[in-house]
Amino acid sequence: MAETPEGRPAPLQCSGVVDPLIDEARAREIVREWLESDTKPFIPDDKIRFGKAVMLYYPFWKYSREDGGTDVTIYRPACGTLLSGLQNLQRFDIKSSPVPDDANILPATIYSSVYYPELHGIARAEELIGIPLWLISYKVKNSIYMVEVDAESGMVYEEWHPIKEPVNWRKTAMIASIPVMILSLIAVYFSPWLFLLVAALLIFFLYQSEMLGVINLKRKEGKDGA
Amino acid sequence: MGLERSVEDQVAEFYYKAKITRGVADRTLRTWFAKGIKAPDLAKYAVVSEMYLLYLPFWRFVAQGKAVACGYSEYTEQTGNVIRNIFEELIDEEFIWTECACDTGKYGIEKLWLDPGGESPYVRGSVVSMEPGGSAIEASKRGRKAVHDLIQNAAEKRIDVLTLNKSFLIPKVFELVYAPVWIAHYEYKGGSFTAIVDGVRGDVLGGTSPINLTARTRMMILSLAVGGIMIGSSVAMLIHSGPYQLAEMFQIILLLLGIAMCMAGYPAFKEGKTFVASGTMQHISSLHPAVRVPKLLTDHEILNHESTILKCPLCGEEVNQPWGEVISPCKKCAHLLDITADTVKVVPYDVAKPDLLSNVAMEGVKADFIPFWRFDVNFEVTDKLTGGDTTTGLPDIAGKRSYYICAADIPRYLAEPWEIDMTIRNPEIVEVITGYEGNYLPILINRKTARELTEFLYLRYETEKPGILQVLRYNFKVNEARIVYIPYYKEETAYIPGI
Repeated sequence: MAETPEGRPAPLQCSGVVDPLIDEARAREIVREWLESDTKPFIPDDKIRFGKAVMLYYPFWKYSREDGGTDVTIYRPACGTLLSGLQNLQRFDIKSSPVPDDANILPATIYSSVYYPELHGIARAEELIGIPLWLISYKVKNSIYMVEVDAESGMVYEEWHPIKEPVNWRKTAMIASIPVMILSLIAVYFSPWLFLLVAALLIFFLYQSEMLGVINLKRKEGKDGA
Repeated sequence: MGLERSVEDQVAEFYYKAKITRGVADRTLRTWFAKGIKAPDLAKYAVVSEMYLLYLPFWRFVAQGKAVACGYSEYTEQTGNVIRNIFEELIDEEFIWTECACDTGKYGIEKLWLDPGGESPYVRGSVVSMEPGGSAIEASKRGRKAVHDLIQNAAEKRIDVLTLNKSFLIPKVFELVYAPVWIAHYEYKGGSFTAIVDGVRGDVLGGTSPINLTARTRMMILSLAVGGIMIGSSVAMLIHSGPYQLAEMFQIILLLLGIAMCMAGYPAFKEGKTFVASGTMQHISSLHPAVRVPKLLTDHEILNHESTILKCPLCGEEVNQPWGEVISPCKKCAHLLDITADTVKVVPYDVAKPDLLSNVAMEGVKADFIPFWRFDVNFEVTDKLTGGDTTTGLPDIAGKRSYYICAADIPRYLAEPWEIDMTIRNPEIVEVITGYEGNYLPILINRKTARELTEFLYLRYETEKPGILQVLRYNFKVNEARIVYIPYYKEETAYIPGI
């Protein structure tokens, strides 16, 4: 194969990785506890089926800065990601070790200089390190979701998850359709006067659900842009 | 054009510069919170936890689609007469196919929303970008297929029965384009949501958000109640047709409408987010970005190549193809070389000498030598049928003759009349033995593409004749192909031929 006309820069390599302190079983347990907690309006846990768990090392730039007389350490992802919780990652006194041979480490694709404009203070050091995350998938009905668990601290980073809604949609649909269906059938079959009952029921539904107020959904913009 | 080389070797990468600042993106997001059927207090209680600029990679394949489709459509009148409309379609348009080169999961971004133009060369690592996954070669194949389908659909739009259908795809660009987006992760009453804001135009492209629960409930109740009335009434009318004089057809339509309203209303208002998970997280292990697959040499290729360095087969000079050109001259022996990813072939060529008239008229002006592919072909038409008035004074260009296709970067609206003119005239070329001083334009169309353009040139010529072409069967055989440099004198924006 011919050489490419423009040489590619050498790939970025992590100088070390943060030691994972959480194993797969513990990570799954953390996720289960998190899903079962009452702080989130989740669906019942008996409908959750867990899938694969994969530990990946995400490359991060670790910037050591001296800002206003104090030493600060800032972490920024060295690869593009849509996962939440990784942009403002916080770490204190992490222990790193050489990169294991079998480490599942994502390739670093962002140079350290990209983040310079948003950093403050006097630069003291910077290095590229791998931070381990457990990515655990779980299935609810026909949808698959994912949750991230920090393999060092055990912290859970939220991704999009199912929410139990306070409405029983099936029941609502049955109540809304079946009575009017039966009444309409009877009205047409026996006496059209019974349609008055149907109409009254419909108006009752409209009144109960404040349907007439829904038509105007436009809202004025507030001073703060809300 | 150089598509073949680009795909196998390295794909050209470009990016759109972000024009939207974080503040503007934040304001766009706040405005979006208050629009549509979202939770009414979303703007008040949503807390943006993260907002960052990210570049998403997209494969982009741009091709010139050329097609000739002939045929007819029939319809029967109330009187029983069958009316046949005959059609002749000529397509010569640019088609663009794009595909997201990374997994954007549930956010619903699959195609690039920005038009070509205004991009800058992409330098790896200089911006925060998602790593493109998958094979460029596979993406190119998907692009080709998709564009081919687009061309076919455009050509066959009006025609029910095709009697002639020929389409050609002339690849222009296959590249990786990075588009900037602002990713906003926000929380609302215990739920985590994400919105994606276009970093160039400032529109919200996709994401997830809580929907107004009250509005959804109301809409569902109303649609199902109305649907229930329609179903109940129509069923009663069908089983008891006594006093009702309405047509049965109306009753059935009413029943179907009622069922449709219930079936559409229930799922439409049941979903709680603006976008539903598409299930792309099924293969969680594939979250590891795939490395682009380089072209692997086969055993045969390895055995037949001493090394991967490309050399001129005549003088042994190492060749280095300028980017974008598909055929370039050897620096040592000046032979034209067709350089692909792993082979070098010599392309025969001639240089036409400017004729006496142009020498006198353009004395002192240097000629531009524009490369043309000259195909000596045998175009044997076996069957032809044309509808309507076919009287024409245009000459026939079938049979044995030379076809000319412009291989330089000249706009097609200029090059096509030259090609037709030279194919009809087949001018005598007085060859220059030892080069000629002038500006030699680079060759940007390879032999394969030029061959397709030759066939299309004939088809286009035939469709542009009076009458509506219906059937055209032919045998097309290329005997020889070579490059001919034709002298042209440039005067402002126009070219004056030198032969």
